[in-house]
Amino acid sequence: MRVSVRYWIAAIAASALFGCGPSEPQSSGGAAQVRRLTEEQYRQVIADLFGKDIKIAGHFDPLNRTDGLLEIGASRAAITSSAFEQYDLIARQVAAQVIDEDHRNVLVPCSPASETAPDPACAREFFAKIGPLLYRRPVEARTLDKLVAVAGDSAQSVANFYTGLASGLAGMLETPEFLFVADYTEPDPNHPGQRRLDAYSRASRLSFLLWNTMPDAALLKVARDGDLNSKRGLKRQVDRMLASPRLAAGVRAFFADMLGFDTFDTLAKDPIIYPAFVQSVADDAQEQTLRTITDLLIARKGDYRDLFTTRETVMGGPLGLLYDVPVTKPDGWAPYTFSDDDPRAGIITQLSFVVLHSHPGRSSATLRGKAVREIFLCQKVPDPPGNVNFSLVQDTKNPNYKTARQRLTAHRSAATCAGCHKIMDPIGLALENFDGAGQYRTVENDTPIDASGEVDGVKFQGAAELGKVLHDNPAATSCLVNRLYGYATGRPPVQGEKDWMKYLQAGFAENGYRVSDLLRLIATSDAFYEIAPASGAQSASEPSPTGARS
Amino acid sequence: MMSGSLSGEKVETMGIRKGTSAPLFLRRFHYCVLAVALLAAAGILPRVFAEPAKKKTLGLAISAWRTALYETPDGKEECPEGLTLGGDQVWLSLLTPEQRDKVTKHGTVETTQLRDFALERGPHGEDVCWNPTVVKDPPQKTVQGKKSYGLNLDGTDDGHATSETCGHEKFVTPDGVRGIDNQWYRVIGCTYGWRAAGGYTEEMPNGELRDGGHPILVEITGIDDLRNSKNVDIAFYHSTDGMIKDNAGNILPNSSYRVAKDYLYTTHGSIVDSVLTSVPIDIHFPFYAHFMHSERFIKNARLRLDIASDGKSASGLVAGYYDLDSFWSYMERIGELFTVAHFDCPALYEAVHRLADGYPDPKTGQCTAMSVGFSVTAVSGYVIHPDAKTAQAAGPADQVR
Repeated sequence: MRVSVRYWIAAIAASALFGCGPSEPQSSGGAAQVRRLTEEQYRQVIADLFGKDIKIAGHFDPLNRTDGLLEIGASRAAITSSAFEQYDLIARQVAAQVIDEDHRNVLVPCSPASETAPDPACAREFFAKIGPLLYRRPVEARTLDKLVAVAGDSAQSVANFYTGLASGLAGMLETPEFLFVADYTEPDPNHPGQRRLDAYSRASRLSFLLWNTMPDAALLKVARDGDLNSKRGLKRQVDRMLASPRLAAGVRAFFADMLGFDTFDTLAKDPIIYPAFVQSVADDAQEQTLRTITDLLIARKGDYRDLFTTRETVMGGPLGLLYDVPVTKPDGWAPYTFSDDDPRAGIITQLSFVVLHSHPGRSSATLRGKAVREIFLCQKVPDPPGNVNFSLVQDTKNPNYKTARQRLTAHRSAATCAGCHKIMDPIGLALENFDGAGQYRTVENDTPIDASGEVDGVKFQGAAELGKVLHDNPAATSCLVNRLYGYATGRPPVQGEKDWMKYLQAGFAENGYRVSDLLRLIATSDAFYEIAPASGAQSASEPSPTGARS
Repeated sequence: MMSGSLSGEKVETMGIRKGTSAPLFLRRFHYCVLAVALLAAAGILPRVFAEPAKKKTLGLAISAWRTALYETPDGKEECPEGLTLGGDQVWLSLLTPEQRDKVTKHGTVETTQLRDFALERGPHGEDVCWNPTVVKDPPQKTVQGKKSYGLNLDGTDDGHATSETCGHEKFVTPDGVRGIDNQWYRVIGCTYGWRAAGGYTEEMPNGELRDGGHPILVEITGIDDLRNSKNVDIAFYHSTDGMIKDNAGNILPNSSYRVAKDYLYTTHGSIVDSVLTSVPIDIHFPFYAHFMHSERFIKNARLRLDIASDGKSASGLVAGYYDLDSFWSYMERIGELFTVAHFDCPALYEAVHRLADGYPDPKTGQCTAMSVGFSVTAVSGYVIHPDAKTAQAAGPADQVR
């Protein structure tokens, strides 16, 4: 009996202690945001709602990278009238496919009484089904009425029910409610005087962070029922979403943004200098890195820092040509492990990094060093002054300066250049064993390459050791926390979130730098949904069902 | 014969126990062994003394395959009688002017129709490529020159008949090597479709290769040194993966190729001064052209390839005896190309049998194969075997790349 009592006392005490870890600090929250859907999100939503075979031909206006992320740029993006034409065109393309004969039987939940006349009941059923998913919140009856009316008028004029349906759907895809993810707020009962996201905005924030797409029906239901405002309900949804295979899409979207993969769209390599850089390499290089990331961080729940040192990756397509390694599955992807003595280790030695941060016809120690500082350490490197003479560094055939190190050393003799190059070049020069197409080399112009480098006083030799240095650099993990939170909220952290950010960083460390745990910490917190008191036009409005924005 | 350890007592060298009174030269030998071992342990000796050098592997993917033709710009040296006529031209030439005017409807009949007329002109409307002996056309114009690329396949200097060959004339290579056998060149060297200007019949399969076709792979294993290696093993595979080309249309090196099941020929050979030579074997070489899978059955096939110093490419010859049945099974299916390649099936069939110089039929004495030299180029590639689940980076010690 005594043993039993002692056991229970100990168990209760342990339980209490366990639950008494560092509590979440009070956060001010930031301003409410109105974020334009990224192109990737637009595509993902359409695919999730209507199927992957719905083609989206064309691109939208690019977003401006802000504070290191497109997702923050999305909070400051508008749609100009000329850009809107593209949205209109694509909306009509999508709508036309949804109601075509190949899809209507699956995507339209009812059959009209006549295909050549309006059918308000069937139209209403269709819009009522897709409306909450597209708008990410309930659709008001009067909005449904308008959509049914639009569909009816159109069907009447062309004597085709489905064409009418397409008109209504295209209209939905062009509304601000669909194209912008707005933070709707409500008073925070736990912190009188403050505001928090309403349940549907919570759902959207969660879903776009974890899945990079709209909330699914289950999440919207929990939002409608009010469970998403409870700790337990929120945790249950976060657990569900983190366990879903869709998490990979969310993690991929974040890292694609952080790594600047959007610039691959305009990447060009000189085909004479780099003949093996064939068309699909750019896509495959991104895919390789994103698969490396999701495999390490999600499938194996690994340590984020190991991304800088991992020798495990995947290989496929024409990548083997540039890596000069065997590919066991040339028409797909297969695991690949670089040997311990291979110069490649970590994602900064993968093609996606060294190729992206190079010039079309040559490597660039400066661009690579700058990218390491800005992307992985969140350190801003100033742009070069306007009057810099780059001729020396561009002259790769100069007999007096045969290697990048020699050319940059000479270039740095100019005082105006030395300051910035000092913080970029010692990093980038460690990656000089990879040419502008990412191919390994030991010489440049028949001169051996010296791949020694230095980061903030820590010296190393070669790319693999650079990875180890970054692995151990505390700025790398704090940068990741900073970027991920900025990505999640669509804004950089504010002063009132200082303690909260420290808390996140400590939590990240305590959890072994596992990104899925960091996502959980963010997604289940109060701070993530906290909104600073309104002070401008962009600040929160009262919760307002779609179709009646105030 | 050396065993034991440096620290233990039971050190034996050459079977002599330590501590016994060994002759002076043997004791000195012990010291040398000890010194060598210490130097090796310290990493001072070159690696080659410390451990045997690893054998290397070179994978090659054949990226182009053409008949080795000796051609002069005007063709007069090798073809003083001019080039062969296509089947349609031969047929028309055999008609009277009145007949010709009638079938061409005063010159208004389209080429495709003429092709059909010329193709199905057997006594009973037979296709003369499927049935090349049902009509007798004028002999095909063949090479009259003395020069050709190729190898001496029969071992004779003059091409006299042996138990394994039929009598034939020999060629000399442009750089003076005598005794060359290449009767295949003699047959088609004056036919537009095989010459550089026309090239249709062979450029088509090469074009298919460049457009993602599946190459023949040659895997050379057991290489000591890329320049000289006395004994190497050679395996021929067929890939299930396509070749990758650059923007200029050149096949890129270092691609990976999985091997097809049920296709494997093995032999061995040697590399001397960067030239790989293989021991002859019979090989069916598959290829894809004109929307068909076909093959060349080469008996006694052997390689003679110059390997580039960086191991990224190779070029040279595949030589042997082209089986006539294998050849004609391809020709009868592409017979309708005679209007663009300018060959005449009945004349070509007669020529290959008349000039065949290998593998005489024991009963009839008619040779059933023809000496041939194909000019091939290859790029380096990784040969992926079915058991390769995951790939490891191949260091320079393992792979020649």
